Amino acid sequence: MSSAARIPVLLIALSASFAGTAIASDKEAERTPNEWLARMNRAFLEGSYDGIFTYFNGDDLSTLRVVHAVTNGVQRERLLHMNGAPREILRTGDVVVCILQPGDAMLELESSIPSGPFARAFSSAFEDVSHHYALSLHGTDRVANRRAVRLAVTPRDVQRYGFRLWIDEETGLLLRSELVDSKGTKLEIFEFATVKIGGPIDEQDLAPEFGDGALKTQLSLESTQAEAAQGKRRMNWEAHWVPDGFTMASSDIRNMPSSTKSVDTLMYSDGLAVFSVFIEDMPENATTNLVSRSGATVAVSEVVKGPKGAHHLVTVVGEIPMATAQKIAQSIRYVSN
Amino acid sequence: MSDLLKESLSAVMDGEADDFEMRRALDEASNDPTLRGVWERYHLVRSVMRGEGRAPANSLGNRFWNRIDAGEGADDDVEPALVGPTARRTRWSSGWAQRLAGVAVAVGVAAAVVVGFRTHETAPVETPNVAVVEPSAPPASMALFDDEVRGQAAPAALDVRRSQRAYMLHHARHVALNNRSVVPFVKVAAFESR
Repeated sequence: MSSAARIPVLLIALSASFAGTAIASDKEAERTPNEWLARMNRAFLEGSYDGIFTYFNGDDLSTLRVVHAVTNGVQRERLLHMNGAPREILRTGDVVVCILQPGDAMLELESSIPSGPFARAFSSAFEDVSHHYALSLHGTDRVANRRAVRLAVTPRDVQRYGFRLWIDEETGLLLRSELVDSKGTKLEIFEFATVKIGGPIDEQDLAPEFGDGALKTQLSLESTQAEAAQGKRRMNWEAHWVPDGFTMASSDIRNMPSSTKSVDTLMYSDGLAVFSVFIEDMPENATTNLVSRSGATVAVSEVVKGPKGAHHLVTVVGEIPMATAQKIAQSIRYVSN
Repeated sequence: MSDLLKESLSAVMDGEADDFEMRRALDEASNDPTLRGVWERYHLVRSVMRGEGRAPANSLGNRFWNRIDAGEGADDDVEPALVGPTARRTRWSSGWAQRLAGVAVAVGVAAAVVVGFRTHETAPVETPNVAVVEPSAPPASMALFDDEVRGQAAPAALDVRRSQRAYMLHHARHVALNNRSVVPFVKVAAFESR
């Protein structure tokens, strides 16, 4: 998907924005870009499929198998890593279980940042993304030995990335996607190598493979009521500049389990792109103004002055251009209530 | 720029130079604008290949991508074989993707030693200058696997880098959990592998 991570955001937000305007069409060739997106969203969430896909983030190539089915109205999914450390992620409805091996570096990272409540803010709170992105169809192509319609999602400014999508002509399933920067450079690519779409899914294909000796972490979404109560906590920090169209999706204060340190967290989205802001007390001996990149995701750390002139470390993480992230990080200000 | 130097630089880019040859080529490159230009173009190709998006607008790197998209293969301007013997050119042409991967590894390892594996202490938006490439990068390390290279990062940057990775993971997981699919979790796992 451009990034795999971007797809679903895209699906939900775009369908929310465009589905209402879709007009039923008998001939596939006559579908509008909006209709293709609505169809893509349905196929991804409601369809059954079992396929192998690759994900390239500009540095590493991962190969995974995804199995998806809806039984009795409940979504069931399984994601299996085919290379590297044995890892599986299973989902039943809103409950996600990660199955990892002891010693997996992912566990170590997990302990650095607490899970906290997950605000489900993305699916509903967005304005029409067409204010910031243009949609256009670009003929057909072939992916996973299937005919695909090509759809471009082009940002209207340079503060966000674009998407190129290949959508299965027959079923609407997303077969390939690219996340591209303003120069057309592919930052992340997702592509099915082979996929079976439709038909019944065998129960055993949805069952975990790495049972013995594995560690299971359960992640679940908070109810919408809990989200309303604590999803948007009043913060003492705010961004004085964000790109046009980005609004705050959630905010929270988390405690680091390893110390008494707390981290203020803000999250913004324009409907497709998402970035997070983390504010912490200045760590001792920290190297400042550091940036990292992984595929389309950047992390930018900047020092800002907080209350009483104390220094704080602001880190902006997201699938946005580096210059945008830096500008946001530099605009973070302390506001006293 | 002498033919000998061109050949040396080509060898460096191909990962075939020994210590002495690499040092000499890089020393010369820093004094020779033409040679430096060639090196910078290779560097751009590496950046673009690695998805770092550093190529300026209308840069060679960008045109290169466009040509790959159009199925035309490598642009002469960015083809390292041009400065090398004919034999190199032939090999390049017969498998540009493989050769380009070699360039990425060669330049990538050198850059990693200096800046700490895709982590930079200065604004990365600017096009990297040839001056940051340390000639002391041992060619023997070019074939290291990612988890071996990881240990070579500058210790001073480790803490912040570790917390940046943790924040990236947190961000990816948050985004993944807020979508009705497990597919985004591929991205969560991707942060572990670096």
